[in-house]
Amino acid sequence: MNDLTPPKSEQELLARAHAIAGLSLGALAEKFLLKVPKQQLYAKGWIGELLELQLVATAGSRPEPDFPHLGVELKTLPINQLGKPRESTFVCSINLNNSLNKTWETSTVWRKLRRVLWIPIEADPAIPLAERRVCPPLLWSPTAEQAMILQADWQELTDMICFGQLAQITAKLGRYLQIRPKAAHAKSLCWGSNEKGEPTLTLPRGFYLRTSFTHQILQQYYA
Amino acid sequence: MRIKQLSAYLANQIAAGEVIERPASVLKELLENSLDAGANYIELDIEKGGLKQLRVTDNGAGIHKDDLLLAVSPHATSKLQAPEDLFNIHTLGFRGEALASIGSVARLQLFSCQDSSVGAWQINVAGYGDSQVMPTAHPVGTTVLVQDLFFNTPARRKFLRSDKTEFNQLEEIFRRIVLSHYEVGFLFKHNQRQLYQLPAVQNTLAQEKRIAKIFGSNFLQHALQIEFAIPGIKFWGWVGEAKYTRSQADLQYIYLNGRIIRDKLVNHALRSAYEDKLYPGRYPLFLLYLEIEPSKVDVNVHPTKHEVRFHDSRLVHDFLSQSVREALAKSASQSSETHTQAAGNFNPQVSQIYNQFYEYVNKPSLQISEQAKALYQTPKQAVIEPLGVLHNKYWLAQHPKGLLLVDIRQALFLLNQQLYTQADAIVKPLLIPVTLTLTEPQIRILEPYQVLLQELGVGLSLLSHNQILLRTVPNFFSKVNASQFLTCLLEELTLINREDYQAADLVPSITKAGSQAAEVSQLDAQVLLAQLEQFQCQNNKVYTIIEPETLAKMLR
Repeated sequence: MNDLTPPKSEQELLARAHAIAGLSLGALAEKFLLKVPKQQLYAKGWIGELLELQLVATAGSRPEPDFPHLGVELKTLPINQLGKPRESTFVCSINLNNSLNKTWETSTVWRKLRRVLWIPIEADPAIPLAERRVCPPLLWSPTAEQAMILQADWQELTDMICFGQLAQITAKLGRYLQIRPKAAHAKSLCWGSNEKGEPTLTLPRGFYLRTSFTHQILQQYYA
Repeated sequence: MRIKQLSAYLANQIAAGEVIERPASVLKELLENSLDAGANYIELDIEKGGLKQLRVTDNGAGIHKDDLLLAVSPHATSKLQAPEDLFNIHTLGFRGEALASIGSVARLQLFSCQDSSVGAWQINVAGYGDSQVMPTAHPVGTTVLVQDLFFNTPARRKFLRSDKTEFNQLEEIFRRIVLSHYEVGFLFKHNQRQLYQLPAVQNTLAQEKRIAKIFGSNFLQHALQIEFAIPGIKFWGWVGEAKYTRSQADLQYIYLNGRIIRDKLVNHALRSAYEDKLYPGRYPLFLLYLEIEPSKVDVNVHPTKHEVRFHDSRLVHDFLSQSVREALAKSASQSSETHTQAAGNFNPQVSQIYNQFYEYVNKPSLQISEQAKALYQTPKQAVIEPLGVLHNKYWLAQHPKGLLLVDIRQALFLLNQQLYTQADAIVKPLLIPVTLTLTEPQIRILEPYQVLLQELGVGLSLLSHNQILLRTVPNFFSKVNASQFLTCLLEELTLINREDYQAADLVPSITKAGSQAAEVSQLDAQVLLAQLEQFQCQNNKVYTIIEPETLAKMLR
């Protein structure tokens, strides 16, 4: 049966993830007596939560890695039948009010991305949610070059946030990282600062990894 | 229409369009010249908002007699001597445009004396035309007299406003300049009336008096003093309390190395320091001085030099914002009206940014890290472009030397075998494990080898009596077609002596299957060729390069 304590080492975490590789989401949900949502549209993040339960991640939605004691972030990655990620990967939300003094080394983005347990999930639209399988895990750290590009992206985008250039930020900026609005709908607003430095209402934003980047990671590792 | 070189007169008028917008811009240029000349007393005499006359007299270094004509010609200056100076500007001006521009749109008279024993000299410039250097009477220093601005550019004249408006603009320039150079005394006269008389500042009291003249007598009582200095940076001045605001953003003076700047980034940093403490439509007051090593900033952005570029704008932004934020926070917790911060007692977060800032200011500028350099240097590699696959067996590519022809199945077979001996077969998982349906006899062939195959990197799980799951392949395999791989593997396994076999006996079977099932269209040409080159020494020739000459002969 499932171990209900958080994993004590990376090896243990990886072993647990390997143990569920090949299982269907339906089978996994059954273990926790959870109902599989009929449409994922109404259950955003359900898969992620299910795997957090299974692997006993403790951080919840706090701005720290899901396994804080291991420094490992858990990321599920829905892929299509060709093995390509279906959507960009959410990294963390951005505090629009206090971006002062942030350096790459202390940023949430880096703390979350420096060690990631990727768990690809079959997500071909033709397969019902309950029958989609969990794929073999990948415990990953960015290469020096990847880290450098991530840092350059982060620096450029954080500078723009810091200077209040919210209106100029589009999803087109950044090679690996991008900033996109993260909100349930266009009416959920939060406070940020505009170009003059005055407080203003704006959409909450988040950092995302482009699919081209996650695809690159998968290609490097999987057959 | 042919292309013609513009005349100097026309070129100057065009340049003047950028630099000289109105009397206030003339005044700014002239005052900056006087300050750059090292004057400690400057007198201004203005008539009708500067439209009729603008006279600036200083006691600075003066201009050499022989340089007078050069002073009014374009791109002539004493402020830059060598190309490197542009990246390390210590003067307010440097472009060598101001006097030439003014001379092209107004009647300009220049009186100067460098040495009283030599005498004073004067030139008159009106629009276009050569002037003569004439003797005159003038103490050491320079007087510039500008009359009838835009007399020869009627279109520009139409944009000028009333005397009153133009005067307000002039006064604003004057007010900003006097707070940038406390050591200089100023006298300001308009229409014969003396409006400002500001003696050179000798002590703090006199300084406060001058500030009070410009910012109002209440400002310093409602301002928080900021003072911060480490080698390479000095940031000092006063910021108004969040409660003490104005309905216009007119009293927000910030100087960079003695130069008035109106910079978006700096304004953003200061405004955001007040966060939500201000009512909408209210503006804080500040009088701030930032002194940084000139090589760390680029002021050559716009002719008026109001905008600047910092080499690390983000750090400067955060530094300014954090300093002001800190001062405001302290004032909120303390009741004292003014206070001074020493560099030592900032909170840890603030001192962290000061440390960064310190490093930034004191490190040699414009250095690109070795790592970053490596990233931008493209590797020098022969480019090989795959062309296609013939008969699913011969792989063709364009090589710098000619046509590359590879027996791909054989090549992969040898390659994989070699890699097997070199590395322990490290497992590469299939992103999506593949389920295959086999016949029961086929399963029976496979079953006894399952453990050994696993050791060699081929991970198989039996799902039912006729279904098998392929989970992993050896990690040096290129992309394979799973069902083809298994079919081929089965064929190979039937050939093995079933009595006595070891793991090594399975290697050829796996590599054969792997090379047959490889999806060769997705191979990385560069990597493959590099690997194949190691094989050239062995007698198995699996690839060849047909040079263009050979091809030509073959086809003759």
